[in-house]
Amino acid sequence: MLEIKGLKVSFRTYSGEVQAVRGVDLELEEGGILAIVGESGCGKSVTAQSILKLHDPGIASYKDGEILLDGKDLLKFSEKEIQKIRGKEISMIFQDPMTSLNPTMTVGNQIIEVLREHERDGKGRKISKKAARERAVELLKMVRIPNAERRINEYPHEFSGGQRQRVMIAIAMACAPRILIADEPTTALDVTVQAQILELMKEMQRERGTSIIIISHDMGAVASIAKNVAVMYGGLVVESGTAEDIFYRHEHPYTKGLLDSVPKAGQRKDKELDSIEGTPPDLVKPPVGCPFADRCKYAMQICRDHLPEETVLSEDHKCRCWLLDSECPHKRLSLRKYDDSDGEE
Amino acid sequence: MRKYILKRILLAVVTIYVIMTLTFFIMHSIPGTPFKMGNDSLSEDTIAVLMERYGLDQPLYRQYFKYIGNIFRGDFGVSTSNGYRSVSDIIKTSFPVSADLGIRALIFGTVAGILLGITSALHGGKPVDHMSTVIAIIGISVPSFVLGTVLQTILGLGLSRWVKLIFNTEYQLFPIARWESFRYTLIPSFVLGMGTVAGLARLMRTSMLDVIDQDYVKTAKSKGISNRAIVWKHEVRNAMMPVVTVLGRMIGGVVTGSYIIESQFAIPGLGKYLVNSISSRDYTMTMGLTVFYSIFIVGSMLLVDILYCVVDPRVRLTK
Amino acid sequence: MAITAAVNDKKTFVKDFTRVTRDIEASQKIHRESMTYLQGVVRTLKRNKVAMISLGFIVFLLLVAIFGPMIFPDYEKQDLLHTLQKPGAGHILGTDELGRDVLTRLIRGTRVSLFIGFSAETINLFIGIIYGGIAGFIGGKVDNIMMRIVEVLMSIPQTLVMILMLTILKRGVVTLIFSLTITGWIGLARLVRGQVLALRENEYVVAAKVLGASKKDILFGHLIPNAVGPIIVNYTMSIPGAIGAEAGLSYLGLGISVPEASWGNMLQFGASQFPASLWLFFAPAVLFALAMLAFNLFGDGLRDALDPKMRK
Repeated sequence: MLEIKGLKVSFRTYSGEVQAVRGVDLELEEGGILAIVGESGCGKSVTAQSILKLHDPGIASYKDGEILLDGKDLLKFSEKEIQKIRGKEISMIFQDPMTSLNPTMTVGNQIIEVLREHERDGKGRKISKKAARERAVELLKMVRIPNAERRINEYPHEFSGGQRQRVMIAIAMACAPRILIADEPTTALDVTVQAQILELMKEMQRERGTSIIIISHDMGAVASIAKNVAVMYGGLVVESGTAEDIFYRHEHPYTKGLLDSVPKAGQRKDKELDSIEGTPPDLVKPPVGCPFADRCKYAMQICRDHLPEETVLSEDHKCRCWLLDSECPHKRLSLRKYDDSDGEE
Repeated sequence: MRKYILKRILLAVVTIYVIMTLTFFIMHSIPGTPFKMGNDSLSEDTIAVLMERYGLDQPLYRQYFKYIGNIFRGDFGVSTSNGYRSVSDIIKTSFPVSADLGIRALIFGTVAGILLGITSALHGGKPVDHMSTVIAIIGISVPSFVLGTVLQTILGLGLSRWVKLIFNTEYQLFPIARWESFRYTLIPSFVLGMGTVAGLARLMRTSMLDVIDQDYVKTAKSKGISNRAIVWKHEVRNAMMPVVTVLGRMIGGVVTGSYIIESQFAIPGLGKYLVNSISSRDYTMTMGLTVFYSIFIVGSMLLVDILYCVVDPRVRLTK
Repeated sequence: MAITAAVNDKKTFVKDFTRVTRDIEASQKIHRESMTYLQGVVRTLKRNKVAMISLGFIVFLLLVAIFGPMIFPDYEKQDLLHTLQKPGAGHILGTDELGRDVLTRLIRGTRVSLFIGFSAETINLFIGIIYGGIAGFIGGKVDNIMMRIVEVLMSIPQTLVMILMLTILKRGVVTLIFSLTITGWIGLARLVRGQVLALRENEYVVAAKVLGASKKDILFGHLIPNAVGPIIVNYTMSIPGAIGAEAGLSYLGLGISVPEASWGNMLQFGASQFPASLWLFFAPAVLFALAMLAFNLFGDGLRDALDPKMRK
């Protein structure tokens, strides 16, 4: 349904042009849940916000690629046309519910606003304020805000963080979009609330058939919800596949690093979590080779000199790593058991 | 919120009281009597009679309480430079003119300033932005009497000379003095409002630029709201909040700043009396007008404070 | 499972699969010029042409104010035979109604006006830092009382305070500066207090406390230096305010009185002669406007440079 092909996005900044996204391919199927995972600055949020062309056109430019919704390229849409997609076909929720709601507008009006923008009555006119209001109450009930009739008149600061994110979901779901993009929806929330929000999103997918793209830096958070996972690093998708592929059959050292940094049930408490040493590359001057080479335990000379092509491991599972090259003399990751100490064999 | 408003009212009362007291003691620290200044013809006896008549022969504390009591009754004393007319009478007749000028200037200043600030922020870094910055800074940089002089000469005298040359009539589109019909109000209101335009344009620009980067603007965009609705319903609305907080001070600035315009354009407002009272050393008048102006300004700041509580839901509920 | 990468004709390089060690350092090397906060501020400011030109003009004005009157000392010299002369040879900017040279008076006026602006605001700066610093640092009840006092003072319109002071005191530079400082420090005091409050709970202050630094050391060693940016901006922007206030008071005859020269009284006199003797008006008006512009634009540029968000 939604397909991103070879997307390249750059931002003009004082220190030069940041190549935030350097050729990303992604696919979201009808009713699917795709997770995009990676550290901050890997280009995951930029990719997601590009789908709705939310970047400031004065700073961001879409250098290459297409974003196809039912075969139509959203990047070629005019501002007017994309406005009809935003909130209606594809909607979005953001990381910080504290700041993503307008503080001087009642919660109800923020829901009503999107309804009146897109929804039409039988005669093709904007739906009435009264009808929109009723719908807004229903939506608040749907996201389980108690006393919805009363609370619809309240302002965002009267809601808790988790409730605000529920309101955001209500706004996003108001026009029953086909795709919901959630940009780090749980990062700013308490752990207990995180699970509730994820559960609510799953419910939307299950009961309304909404496809979801969830962006997170936390492998643990997406494990419970994602059907497909794409791991991004340095503006590229380094590995993508079904959740099983990524969690159990991953081939990229970065994916392994991300997974190792998540605490696992039953793990001994005194055992230190593995973290990935170093910092992501500066995308003003992206490295010529694999962006992860400098931090990689398995790095080879070729990794520094040449960017690996994508290796197709199965229909869904793809990975960009020189270890998978047919001429590579070293063992690939999935064939190394109990090897988390260093790169030596 | 009620507690907050009560606190503000209390503070306003204290402020006015402090100003009254300070003014009183400052004025009474001046050596001599109000009747000696530049009026040497009065004999010692006459002065003594006058002193007694206005209670100036009584001990200071008595005078002080009397003064405070009088102010509460709306009595600011008499003006020696205006034929012993009562100060409150002068205020009654001339303040409406000042208020009229002030309101016109404020309306022009706020509307133009806010629009200029919005335009400038929406075209950040482009020529429109630079142009409005220049307008704003000229508004701050050029003193009103300089701007007034230039406009009087060019728009008033210069234009009417051309009118005379072409149409052979004495018609003045922008009269340069007095306060009679709408045409008379144009230049003075413009000149007086220019400071407000400048101040608000810059404040609104900064405030808008701040708001434009906020997450909720991105949310609004992601909802498919049209650009115009985003600007007006989300950005401007939020950017207005800091503007509301300075409105009180703006009113004060316009009202106390009008004395220059009033004397320049021969507008029979209160400011002109203030200027005259200073130059003729009419202390009761200066004192009375100072207190009156303070009450007015403190009052308008209080009003704006309360207004702010009403418009900003965050303040409304937390305070 | 298909294992090989898609065949690519362009791949003519030799595949070197030699193991290399990790290079964490390289990954941490930032390719952008790394710089301290101050370096960033200076660099951004230097790139801002408008701000740099403004700064240049301010420096020029200061030089004129300091050295100008030494070269052109006769600002009071009257020449009743050559009154109201148009600009020309001998008197580049003409003469006034008493035959005094306008250029010489303008130079003198620059010294007087800048002196008023700088000294009034410098005094305000000191009072503001001390008052705001104490209120913010001690906090609690003391802060509460100090801020209530500030709120009362803030409601007193500055124009009125100045008019009152200049009405009852002997008019002149000192009185003018004094009247500018009566309520002028309040803005800075509030700013300083806000900065101190915000910085007070910062981790490094807590660290300094734990290490046993005295309160005084914390205040002057840690807090003030960090709050300094916005304070400098406020200081720069308030100088034209003070100079402008003198001009406004001159109109009431409460400013600097002749024969002393100031921008205010020259402007006032020039405006009263407008448009008959244009030069008497334009010379001070242009210089005054340029000076105001320079201070405001430099302040703007400085504020932008100090704001990391604006720097990007």
